[in-house]
Amino acid sequence: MRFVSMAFKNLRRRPVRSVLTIAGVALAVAVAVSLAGFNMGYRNAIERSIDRLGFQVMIMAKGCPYEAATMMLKGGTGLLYLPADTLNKVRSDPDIGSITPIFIGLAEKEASSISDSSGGAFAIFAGIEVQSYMEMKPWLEFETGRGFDGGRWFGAESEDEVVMGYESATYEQRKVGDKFIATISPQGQSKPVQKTFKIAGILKRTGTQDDGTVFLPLKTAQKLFNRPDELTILGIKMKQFSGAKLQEFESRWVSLPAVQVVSLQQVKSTLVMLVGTAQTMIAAVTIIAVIVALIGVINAILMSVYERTGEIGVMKAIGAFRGDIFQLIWLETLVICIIGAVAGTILAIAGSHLVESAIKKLINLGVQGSIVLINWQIVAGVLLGAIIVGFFAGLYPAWRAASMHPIDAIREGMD
Amino acid sequence: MKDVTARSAALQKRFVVTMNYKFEIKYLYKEYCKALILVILVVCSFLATDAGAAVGCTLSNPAQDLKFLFPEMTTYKEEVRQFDLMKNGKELFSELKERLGSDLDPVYETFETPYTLYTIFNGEKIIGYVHGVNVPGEGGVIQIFMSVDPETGAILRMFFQRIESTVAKALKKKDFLAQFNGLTLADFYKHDYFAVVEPASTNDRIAQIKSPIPEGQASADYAAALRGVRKDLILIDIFVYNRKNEPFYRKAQDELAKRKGL
Amino acid sequence: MENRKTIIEGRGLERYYHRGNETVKAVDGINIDIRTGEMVSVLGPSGSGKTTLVHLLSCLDVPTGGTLSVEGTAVTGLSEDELAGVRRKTMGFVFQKFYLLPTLTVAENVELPLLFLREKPDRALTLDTLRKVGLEDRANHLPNELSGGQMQRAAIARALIIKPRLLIADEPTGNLDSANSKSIFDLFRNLVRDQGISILITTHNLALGYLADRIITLQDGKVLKEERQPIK
Repeated sequence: MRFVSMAFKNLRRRPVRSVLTIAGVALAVAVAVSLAGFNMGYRNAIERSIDRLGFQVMIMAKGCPYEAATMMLKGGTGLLYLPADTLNKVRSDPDIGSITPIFIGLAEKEASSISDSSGGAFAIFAGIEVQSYMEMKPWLEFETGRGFDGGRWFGAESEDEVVMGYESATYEQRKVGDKFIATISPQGQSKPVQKTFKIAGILKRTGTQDDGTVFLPLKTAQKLFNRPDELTILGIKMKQFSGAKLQEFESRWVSLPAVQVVSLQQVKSTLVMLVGTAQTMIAAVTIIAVIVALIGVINAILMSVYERTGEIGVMKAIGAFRGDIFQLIWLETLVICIIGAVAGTILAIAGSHLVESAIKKLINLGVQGSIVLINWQIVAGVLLGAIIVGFFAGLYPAWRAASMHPIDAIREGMD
Repeated sequence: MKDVTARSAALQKRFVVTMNYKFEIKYLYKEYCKALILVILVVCSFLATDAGAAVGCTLSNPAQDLKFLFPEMTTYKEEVRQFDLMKNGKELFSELKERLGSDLDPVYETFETPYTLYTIFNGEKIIGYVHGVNVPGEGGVIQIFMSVDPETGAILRMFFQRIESTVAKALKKKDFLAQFNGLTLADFYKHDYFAVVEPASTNDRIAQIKSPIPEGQASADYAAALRGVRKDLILIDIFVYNRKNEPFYRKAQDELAKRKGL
Repeated sequence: MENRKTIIEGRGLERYYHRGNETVKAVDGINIDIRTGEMVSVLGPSGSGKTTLVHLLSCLDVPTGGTLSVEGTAVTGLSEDELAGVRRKTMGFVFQKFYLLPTLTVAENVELPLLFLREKPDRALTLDTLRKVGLEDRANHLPNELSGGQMQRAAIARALIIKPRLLIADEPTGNLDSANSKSIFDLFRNLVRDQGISILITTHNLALGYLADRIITLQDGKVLKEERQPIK
């Protein structure tokens, strides 16, 4: 029998108390792991969303870049346009690896609630050049299966074919070959026009705003919205992407009137910085949870020490040094903290899906996909933290027990 | 003899004490396992709702919309029903198909499709139900919602939450929608009978409905809308009224079967 | 008697307590020797100082005055841990309330002192020790499965596992009925006879106390009388 197994046996003396104390630690750990996982997951989701835009740099009409970029991430648009000839000007830049022009327009759907007064919903139309778009986003594929087979891109000159993102198609209950009707308000015309399209293909889910987009040929989109000489975004991939190269690129094109160069890296940094402010709050909540659990552990072990005063006195009488008693009590605390930490980590991992649904319901974070990421670093960090906390939590009760004078302890135990 | 009795008494005592001690551990272990299973089930139920193209139909602004429909509402309850999670789900799903009288879309009207039922309260009293369905229209989804009387199941009000169609304006006209007020699922089942037996009958309330589509304009969306209303009523009959309109369906089918036999 | 070695020698032992302005002399100038192979009982009414004296002799308490040596080595002035070190090599302890750890089996309770000595338990030795106290068939039982007498025997076995020269028993039969009390004292007698262990006992029970070789009666912190029984 060793000190460790004795510690376990002593905890089993009051199983309900031990379980409740462990549960307190487990909850605090679960909170810590979940929040850390959310922090990590959200950062990753931002990175993923931005990476999944395909391009590294955007040239768009002048306006607030972050607002515009966030709206892009959320699937909206800045509703600003830049001259189409910008494409030809910029295309020749030696640092550009590939470039794709995109025109974004909104088709206002019939009101999406019962009363006519409340706002309508939008269908996002993106006019693209298929070849250059696919160069940016080579992962785009067509969905297959019943109702989706036979999907393909439209021809460049096609005037009535669209390709739909997965979510926009399933929301409208469309299949490949179905009709799709949208009401478009062309620029400068007061009367909206209802247009019927044929669905050439439905894309596989990507986890990006493409899922909610309806794609059509660039020229067709420009014509439909009556903006033949305008574009919304030039998506650019650099040959070599670095801070220095980006700055050079920006300095070359900043002089163009009415446009701005937005690096997705900047957008990423801004969003991550916003997350950073939330980190403080997250840390505060975690610390409070840990303190509460710590108090519970100290209380439980102290109670256990007082209940065993007589025994501790006898152990000292039969030859236990102060260090032996200290070690025994201190190990009990460590055992509680470690078991609680493991249980809390398992709870956090098992419940991460729930946490994610809850957070997504409460706040629109502007990213898609998983936002809770619990990796081994978080688990290891929290477990180590629990051990350190247990280390300190056990000090006072262990010292109290070790400091008991054998006779006083035995006498107290007799009472 | 004394020794044997003493030993057996001691054994008994040991057994009871040991069992008590072991029971306490086993009890805690059982409780822990139950909790773990519950956690896993809850997690899985979340995973299950993410399945494939099963898209449900919900109100865009429930609190606002329901208050608009029921000004005297104090609270509401939102529940999701899915055939694949119901006891007898398979039977109920095939009943839906039979009573609808048309095929269900294999991609979008599936066994896993979730349905959202809103129960409207004034204090403790239920004052109505609201439920909506998606039906594939010609050019996009048609979302049909209706509020029904809590006692009779009759339509209080029918409306389109979403419709993109060449005849959308006509279908959304208030006079057209008002024709549905007061209709029940029983009326649809009676229509099945009258349509064959007595087409011009004035008792056929469904046949009395006037199409709002202007002359010369053809659209499958009118038929889709009617189908949507019928589907909505059938689902409400299953989820809320425990299929109380079943006798009307049976009677209509029996009469039609008799006619076929003649 | 004269050939027996002295295990504990106390000269002029004093233990005073201060309670406010009052000084209580729990032990007031006692000379005492405990030798090998003898059973010594310390008698006296409550407050006579017998427990305090035993605590001093067993290095559980520090005398206010006088000297104490264990096996020839002076122990006055040692730290708590040093005193524990003296105790663990020389003395075994039995208390009125048994103090068996309830989550350890009888065998594990017996082996407890070895844990503190960092010695690996020898199951054969443990069973042998239990045999000496008549508990070899209870080795894997928990304390709450034993009778009072059995629990005290287990506590005695725990005290014996380190092969002490001196066994100190403070009111060992205080929680036992008369039959069990007698059997414990008989066990003590056997241990003295067969193992050559010295036993120092405090007790209220005169009849049992007079089963010892030497009977020291205290009153008000002083030795009232010391009697010897014929050598058994």
